[in-house]
Amino acid sequence: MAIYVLTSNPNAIDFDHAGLQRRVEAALGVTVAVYRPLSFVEHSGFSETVREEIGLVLSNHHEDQPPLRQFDAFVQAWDLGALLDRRVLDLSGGWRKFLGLALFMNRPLPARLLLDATSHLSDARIRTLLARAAEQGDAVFCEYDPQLLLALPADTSAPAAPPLRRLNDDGTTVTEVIGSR
Amino acid sequence: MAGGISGIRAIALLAVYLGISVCASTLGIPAWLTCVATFAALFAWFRIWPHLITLVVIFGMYGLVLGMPRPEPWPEALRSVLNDTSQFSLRVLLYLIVPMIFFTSVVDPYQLARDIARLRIPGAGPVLQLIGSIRLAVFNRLGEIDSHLAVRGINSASGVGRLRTVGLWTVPLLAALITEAANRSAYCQMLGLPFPPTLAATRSPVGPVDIALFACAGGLLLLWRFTS
Repeated sequence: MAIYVLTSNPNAIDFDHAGLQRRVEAALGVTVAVYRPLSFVEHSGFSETVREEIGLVLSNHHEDQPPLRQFDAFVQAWDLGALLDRRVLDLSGGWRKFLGLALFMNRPLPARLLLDATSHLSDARIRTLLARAAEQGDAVFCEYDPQLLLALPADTSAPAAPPLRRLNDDGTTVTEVIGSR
Repeated sequence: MAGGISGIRAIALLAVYLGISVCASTLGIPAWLTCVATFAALFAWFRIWPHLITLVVIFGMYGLVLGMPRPEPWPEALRSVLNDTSQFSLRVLLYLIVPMIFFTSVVDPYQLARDIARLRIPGAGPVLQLIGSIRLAVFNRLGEIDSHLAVRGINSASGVGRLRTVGLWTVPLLAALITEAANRSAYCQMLGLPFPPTLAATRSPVGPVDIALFACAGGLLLLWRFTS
């Protein structure tokens, strides 16, 4: 289990995410599931409140792929308790994105590639995301500005953030930066 | 209820309306008049004024036709159109459009989708849920576009401003809605959902108001049965 920060041509996030996925899979040697923001879609559209959205997604997981956490544990782990009865569409853009990310991270997957996952999120939410990402499988974060993620200020009142390893994409292969381990 | 009345309440209101209509008909009051009066009262009770504009536009078309030169005076022309018994008269339009606009304005689409999901008709619940969510998505996107225009000093949220800036908000609104529809399935797959997913089926709450409305409708139907 490791968390990587991938430095790549920012245009690859928008226009070559399929190629980027192939290169990351070749580098890690496993199939990765991709999270990427999809324009104007911030929830499934089949639910009204946050509670219903979580319930809908958890109840629709395939039998062979049970969610990592069930409802109560999920809400607690992702600090969503205060939002449960609010409409998803009434949440701020950052919270809506965080909810989608949390549901994506709750899938039992060996590795994940997260494209532009941390923009619009507060530092506290990014720390939560990193902490959960460190719990299961590999996670590769590819951001428009990876330096912001690498320079994330530490929260002295919370457990230390997991170490971040660096990957570099030159457009043909993804390799680990020497000395990043 | 957050998004409006439940499907059960809608059926109860419809039953009361039918009861009033048949009882009024025995007193010689025409059905179109009962329809207009009942739904005018319901529109006022639920304060859904913006949807009256839709009705004004639809029936304004008839007004335009009636405004054309014709041999009989205007009030007589209106009466003849309302009493027209041909297959698709103004009355049929009135009985279809007015209740439809009213119920689509006040019914909670989410609870209706859950009710429909209980019937286990394949795909019916999710499709209805999706249609319901479009209503919210439109208002949500429109709010965002209004904010973008407001910081540029353009007021598009007020009634007149909405009409004056129609060229500014329609294109981004349509573009956002079309893109959202195109990306919805990919988003669901990303979260591991089948498309369409299986909805949670919950029963509509039946309160004392619903029971009173059904009782009222039953009473009116009995009254009509024994007085006609």
